[in-house]
Amino acid sequence: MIDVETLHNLEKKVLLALKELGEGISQKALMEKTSLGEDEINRAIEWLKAKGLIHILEDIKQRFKATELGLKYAKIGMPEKRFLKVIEKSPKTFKDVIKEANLDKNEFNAAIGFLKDENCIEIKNGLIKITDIGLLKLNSEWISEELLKELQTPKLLEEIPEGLRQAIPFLRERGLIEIDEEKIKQVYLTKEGKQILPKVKIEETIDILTPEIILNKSWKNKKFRKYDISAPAPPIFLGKKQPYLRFVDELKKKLIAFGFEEMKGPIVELAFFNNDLLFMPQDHPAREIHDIYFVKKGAGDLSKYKALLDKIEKVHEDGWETGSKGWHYPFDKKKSADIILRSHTTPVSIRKLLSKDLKIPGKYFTIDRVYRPDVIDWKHLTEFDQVEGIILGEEITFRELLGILKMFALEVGGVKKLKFVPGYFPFTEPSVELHVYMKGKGWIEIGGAGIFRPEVTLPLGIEVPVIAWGLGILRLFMTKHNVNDMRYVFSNDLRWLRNFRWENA
Amino acid sequence: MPKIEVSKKDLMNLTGIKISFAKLKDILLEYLKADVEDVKGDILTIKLEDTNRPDLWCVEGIARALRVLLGKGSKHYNVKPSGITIEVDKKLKNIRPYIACGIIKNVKITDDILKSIIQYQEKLGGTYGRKRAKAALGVYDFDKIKGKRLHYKAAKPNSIKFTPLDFNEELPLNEVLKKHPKGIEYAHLLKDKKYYPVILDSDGKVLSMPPIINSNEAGKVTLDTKNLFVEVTGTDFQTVMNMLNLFVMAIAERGGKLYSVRIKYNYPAECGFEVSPKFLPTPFNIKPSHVNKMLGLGLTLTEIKKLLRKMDYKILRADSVNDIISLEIPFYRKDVMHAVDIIEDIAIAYGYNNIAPIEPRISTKGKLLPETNKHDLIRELMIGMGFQEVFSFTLTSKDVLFDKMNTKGKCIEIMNPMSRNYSVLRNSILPILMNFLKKNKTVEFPQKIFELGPIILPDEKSYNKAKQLTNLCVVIAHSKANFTEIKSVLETLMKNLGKEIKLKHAKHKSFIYGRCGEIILNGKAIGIIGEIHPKVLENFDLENPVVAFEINVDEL
Repeated sequence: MIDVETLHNLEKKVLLALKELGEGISQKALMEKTSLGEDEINRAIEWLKAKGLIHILEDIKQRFKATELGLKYAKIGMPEKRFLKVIEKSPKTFKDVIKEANLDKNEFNAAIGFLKDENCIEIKNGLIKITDIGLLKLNSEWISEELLKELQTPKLLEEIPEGLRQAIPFLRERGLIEIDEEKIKQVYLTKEGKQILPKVKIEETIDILTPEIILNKSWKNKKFRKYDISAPAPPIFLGKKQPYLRFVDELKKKLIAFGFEEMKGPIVELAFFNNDLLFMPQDHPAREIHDIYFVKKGAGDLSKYKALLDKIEKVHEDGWETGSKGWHYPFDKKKSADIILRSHTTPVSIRKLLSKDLKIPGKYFTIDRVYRPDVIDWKHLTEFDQVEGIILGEEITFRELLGILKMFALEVGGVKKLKFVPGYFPFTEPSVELHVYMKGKGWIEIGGAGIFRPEVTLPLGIEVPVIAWGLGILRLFMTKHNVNDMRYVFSNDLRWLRNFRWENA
Repeated sequence: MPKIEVSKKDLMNLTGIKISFAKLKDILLEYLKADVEDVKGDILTIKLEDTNRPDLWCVEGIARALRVLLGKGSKHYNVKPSGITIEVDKKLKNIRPYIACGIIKNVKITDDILKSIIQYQEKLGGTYGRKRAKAALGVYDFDKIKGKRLHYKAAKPNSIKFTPLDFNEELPLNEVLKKHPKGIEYAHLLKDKKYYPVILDSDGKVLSMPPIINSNEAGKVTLDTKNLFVEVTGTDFQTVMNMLNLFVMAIAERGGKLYSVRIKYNYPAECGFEVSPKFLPTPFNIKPSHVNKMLGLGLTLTEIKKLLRKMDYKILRADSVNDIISLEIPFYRKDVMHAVDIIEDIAIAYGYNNIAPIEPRISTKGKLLPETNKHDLIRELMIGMGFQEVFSFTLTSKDVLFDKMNTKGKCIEIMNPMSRNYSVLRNSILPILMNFLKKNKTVEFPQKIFELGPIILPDEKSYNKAKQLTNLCVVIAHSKANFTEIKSVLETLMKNLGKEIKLKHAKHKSFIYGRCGEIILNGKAIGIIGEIHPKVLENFDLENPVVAFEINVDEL
């Protein structure tokens, strides 16, 4: 039951007017009765309707009126009448008819068609002659013309004389009259509306508290209108972080707390950093065009790394001084200079291992974009983010690596079940993949990890173990926030962004 | 990575041990880096992650590994000399120098075997042989090869004719490259060569034209074939030898007797005889202390030995005092390049999931990059002004970057795009956000969005011909959006960052002239601001005014 005190004075006025006027009252009548403006009445009606105190029947009123052409004919007569008139006395040629009756081409065609159908004219030897029926027609009443005259001002159907109504379809077809529709609201009280009616009385209450009211202290002897605090309020489109980027921010905080330093590398890379330094043989299937995006006209400059390039050539061919047998193939330095879009974030780690400010022991991470020519589906995109990290130090072992992966699965991805699966990457040994169980999807791979091979670290002058991982952070976001399609992370959908719920934040 | 189809029944028969499907799946995943991707009745599609373990790319190889893992021990393969020699033409030195051959007699060819032979041949030549460039393999009906002295010869392109497989007319070698489907597919491997490789029997009959196609007569294997001749040619000696070993061993898994062939080389530096197949294990020493240091485990010598045997390594000597295990790497494991490969095998045999994870014990000080802190501050200010952050792809199309924006410009283009929609790197964020508005035409207004992220510009002077910048782009769309509104946002942001900027009228075809300005900081243009031109709005199918600015935040 609605609390009468929460009703606005506008609503009360409308209710009281209904009480007096009875049921099925139009807006217009309400406006007259209450002396409220149209806006005010409409607002009051909407509010009352939302509260279930009134219901509204909408009646559509159709008004007929002459079109512009119709108005013209109302004045000068229908074309067919004008046509008949000029041949009333004697037959005439087409040309003369058009000229004397002042018809344009369309009018002439319409008129001659109509008159032939009605047997009002005969055409012989290029002359048009009026028939007896035509004469009769000419001198009888032209209902259509009468109706047009009638409709020079809009009229409801019941306002049109009954005898003229039969001409309506004909004139509409000719585009001479048209219909205006007007919606008329009729207001009725609902059962509840009737119930509270006795309690409705207008009293002066404070609606909106204004600075004036505070200053003139008029609030002291007036009541405040009670608000319906359960009424819906409009939504606010607030400014907020993109859901995935907020997740990244949180992850960065966590990694900083674990003692990781952030590192960064370029999106447009050279094959040298993306592949060669990672002991990925140049004829390796993962280096083919279906696995790496190549940049057009892309030969980069490796002159700064000449000595290292020579070393890497040897590492690939026979292992150099790493204790490895190498890959046994002719290394092509030109291929090292290929410009590509990095296919993983590992080159960022490699650049860090090469840099002068590298700390041993050290922990480093980056969260950044990588590119692969993949077909897009719910768990594959052609560009996506990886969270990359390395820890280097004399005492670092495979167990620490598993510890890091477990932390990512449980604490970052929020999963309940995980497993470690042997993997294969040319640059790590042992290599491991992290698999997690995602509700509704089953086991999915989150990414790869391992201990960098000596063929990777020794040419860079690193002699301590380096554990490294590159995980699909988008997949961790999906498991954490029950997002079941990776495409949403790069969402173009503003509604999704506005309505994203942080249930597991 | 290779994918193969195997019959589960065939696999179980070859393994000789019955295990459940679930157990099979687990073993494949946890020990062999292999995943069952699909099951159709008896046929399993298995994906093999390890591109470096061609010994596992056939049902026979998987069965061999399973047998060892399940404790049935490894198999010994006897090879007898066949008395056949193949002589290598020294002109092949710079064409396709190496060959290896083997013979398997008394093979009972069934549908399963035939399927497996074809599939394994394809995987070996395709992946391990790098699309036949490094090595490729041919199989023949041994009974159709005449004599004991075969020849691997360099022949002039139009000097010899033969009938290639599945053809019924003889063609000269250069015609085979033009007419046979395999000839067309692999012609590039013989491009610009003066001679083409051919294999001839004692009668001088062409057996094949490696690495292109076999002859239709000897080079065809059917259910009636009893004895097989196998040949591998290629550019790398080890790969050629190993490919032959792997293939004949796989067939020998099903019975049949192996015979070797002598190969006579006449190259100046490598003169003499070689024999194939040759199943020689590689001796290797590892340090137990290295194993434990790397894995973080405290395995005893006995434990390590047991784990090594599970992976088919043979222990020659183990000595804890001198910290050494001498072992033999099985001949089929050419992927083992370093001790670390063996250590991984020990870890796999131990079971990755049996190793207790620990948190890293070293303590270091964490920190963000200074630019990340700056970016976060800017994002925070934008959000404070009521803007929704968005996150977009950096790959886009020239149509979005230039045509729709009514501009011209340069960007980094991809040589091998998957689709036109993702064929270039964005050189600006604004077009991407305009596209965003287009996709959200029916969503409630006002729409206020921003993105802070990378853009990439071509830069001939840079080592990678590119320059990566971080831009901030801010966009407002609603029925009354105007220049003053966006300028307020820009100035409020800059004031909060302690920067004083000036605006200077600019001509930019994406914006309305007179309502567009360059953003100047310390005399340098760092961005652009203005009302988007109605023509651009039309191109993006937008019906509300849009105002925007984009700046390079690296300059702030």
